[in-house]
Amino acid sequence: MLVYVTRRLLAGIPVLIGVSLITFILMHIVPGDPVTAAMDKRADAATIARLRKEMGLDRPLVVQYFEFVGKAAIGDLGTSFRSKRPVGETIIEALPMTARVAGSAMAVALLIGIPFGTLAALRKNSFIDYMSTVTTLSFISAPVFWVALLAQLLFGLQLRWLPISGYQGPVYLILPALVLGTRYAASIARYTRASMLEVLNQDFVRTARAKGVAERFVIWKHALKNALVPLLTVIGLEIGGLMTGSILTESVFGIPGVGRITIQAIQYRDFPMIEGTVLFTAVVFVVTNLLVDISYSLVDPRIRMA
Amino acid sequence: MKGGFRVKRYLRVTAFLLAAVMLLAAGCSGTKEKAGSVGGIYKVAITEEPPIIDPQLDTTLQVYNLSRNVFSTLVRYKPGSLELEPELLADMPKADADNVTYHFKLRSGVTFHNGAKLTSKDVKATFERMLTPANEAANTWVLAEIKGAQEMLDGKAKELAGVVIKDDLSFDIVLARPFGPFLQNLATAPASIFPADVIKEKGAQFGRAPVGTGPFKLAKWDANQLVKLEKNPNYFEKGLPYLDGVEYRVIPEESTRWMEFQAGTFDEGAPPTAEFTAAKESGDYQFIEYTTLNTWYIAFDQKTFTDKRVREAISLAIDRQKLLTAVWNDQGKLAKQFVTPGIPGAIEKTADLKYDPEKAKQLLKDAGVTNLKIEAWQRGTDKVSDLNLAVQQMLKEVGIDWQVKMVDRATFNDARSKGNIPANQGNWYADYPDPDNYLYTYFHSSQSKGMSINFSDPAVDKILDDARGLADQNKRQKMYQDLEKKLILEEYRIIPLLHQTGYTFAQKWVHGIKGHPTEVEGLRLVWKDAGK
Repeated sequence: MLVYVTRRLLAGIPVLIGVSLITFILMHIVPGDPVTAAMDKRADAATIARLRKEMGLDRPLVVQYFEFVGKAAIGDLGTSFRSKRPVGETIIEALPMTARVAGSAMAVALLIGIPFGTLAALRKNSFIDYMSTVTTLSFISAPVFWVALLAQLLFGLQLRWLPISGYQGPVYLILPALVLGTRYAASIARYTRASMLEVLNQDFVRTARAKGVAERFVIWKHALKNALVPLLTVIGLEIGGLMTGSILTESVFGIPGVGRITIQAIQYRDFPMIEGTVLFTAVVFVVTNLLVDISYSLVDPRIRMA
Repeated sequence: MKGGFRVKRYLRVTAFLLAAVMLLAAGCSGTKEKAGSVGGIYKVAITEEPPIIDPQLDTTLQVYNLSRNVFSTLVRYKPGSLELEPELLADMPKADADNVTYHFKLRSGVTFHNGAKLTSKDVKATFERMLTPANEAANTWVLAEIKGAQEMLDGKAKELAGVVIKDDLSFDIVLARPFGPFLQNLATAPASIFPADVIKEKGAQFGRAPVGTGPFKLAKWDANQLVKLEKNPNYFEKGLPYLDGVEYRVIPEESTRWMEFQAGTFDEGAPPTAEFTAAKESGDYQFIEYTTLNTWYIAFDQKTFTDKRVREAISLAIDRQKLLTAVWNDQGKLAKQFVTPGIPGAIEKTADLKYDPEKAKQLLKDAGVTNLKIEAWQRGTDKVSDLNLAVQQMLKEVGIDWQVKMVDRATFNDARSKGNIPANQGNWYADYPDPDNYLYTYFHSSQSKGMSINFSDPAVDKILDDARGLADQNKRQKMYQDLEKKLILEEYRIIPLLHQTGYTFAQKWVHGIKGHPTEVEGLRLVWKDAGK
């Protein structure tokens, strides 16, 4: 296992280098400049030239890139052009908030998605199945932004049950977790249904039933456990997406997460911050995929790490 | 009986005295409230986290407004007025006859938030910090006219020759040449004074842990979430500020900010455009209007739009009254000129700019222009602005295709600075109330390219340079008025549209908000009803 994990982590290094290079090239191809982007009203040529020189933007791109990679290799992601703060520190500061939202949203998604998906598979082509399909498709289709505003209006402003935005304690997570979680619940329910339908038709399920195993054990212990294997891939990708920040949800609910700092960095062409957040995203996906692969063997012992 | 009478009389007298005391107390508390001594935490929503509270480096109004609460400047504007008054100074500075040397004397006993006393050394160190290239200050224009500033910016000097310290509280500022709006520049947020020792110690990190002499000091900064200021108990204006603190909470989404305001979370707010009229007419909130110094306009690249007849046709095709009523809900005035009325030196009386689409068509015909397409850039939004939509419709009626190109702010700013924007519907909010701030910025050849106007005329440069240094205010103002008549009213180099009226919605428990023409105002005179 250790050898496998080490090999996978080492294989991630070229991925990160590739991501950093592509990001660097894109940053410089896209119009816009960190100096002028930050100058709200006016920007005379002399001031622009002076600031570009001080920020090191007048140096050859190759020099700039290798300086970034060299520092990143030893854990230094540079300093934000705008806030003058270390990029790594800024991301780490935003991470717990993103993790809280991601964790609670995923919990909602799993708690709703798996039971509903399973039920829909067990009652295939029944009223429950149709209702489940319609509901899940509605949640997938409805823009998160719109659902979030409606939820704020109803539960925050009209009923005053929940805070509208910000974060000052766990109660502030309820609305974002529900809004984001129900959307992911919908897709998890769809995948669970499909996967369960496939597993329920397999021989081992028929055998278990023939042997007189109680139906609830057949469903929850045998069928669902096997149906989870493909589902883990989906959940892993969704956790990756959630951990790198749900930009719209963070904006609407005023949550200070990674998504917000990423979008701000792009708006202001804060190159070190863009590189840092994109690299962070890449690391999250590499690690999440690794964890998903490891979890396959835990769910299905037939799968071995090699 | 007698005793009973005495008791009754005693009770009556006591009741009378008690009532008198209560009335007096009520009267006193009324006076107290009028004076604004009730505190409270003032809560405001902001669209994004200020990256730093350092007005030398940051150019946004948000940081300027925050700075007015944390820092002080040598001079400042009186509330709601364009008249200057001393802030950190004992008196207004006195200029020598040559208008090059100004004599300053600081108030005594002013301390920074860290307890250090304000001295002339802090002023000099603050200005030198701004002008030292390594510090990456973006607002160097504020101090650029001081003698030796350019040498520092060029890296040829380490000290600012134009600031001469005489003693702890007295210093002179010597300019490179006479500069009319110099004192106005010193009243802008970028000219805030910092403590010399702290800026040296903190370096680039000063903006995340700012220390000033302002009415509030930084208490807490939760990244991307909350900036909390608390009352500075040692503020040099005794009895101020009235508030106990200010909280700025970051909420990027406009609808969410408005919902929170409606829920009473925030003390001031701004509704989405669609809800403006309903909010104003609801009577649930205070609607505070104030004059601001701005002009909304249509601007062109002068190298592309060389024919005066075409520019005039565009001006004639615009129905400004319709723009004001239909698009702005009457929150403004029709623009008749570029330099906002009210600024000393702005044209005082002039006729409305005409709306005459037929004449516009004729002018285009005379110029031999058919099917004119204008690429008009719009910054930072994902939908065409209401004003651009209306302009587009009006120009279409005279045969001009106003094609709106939406780009993000970084792309827009970059292209503008390179002089690459062909046309745009833009606006200018004055940094200081002087025609120089408008005309020099847009029409001096050293600046015009940076605004994508690309205007260059040595004769105009000379007028603008001369006017800057002129001591005779009447003569100076006439020079600006004549120049504006030529450039704007005769040649249509920029087409003025409207002047926006500033406004804010505030909860009914908020007092003391006036709004300032420069849109930059601190909260030292604001207070809230008790318990709110």
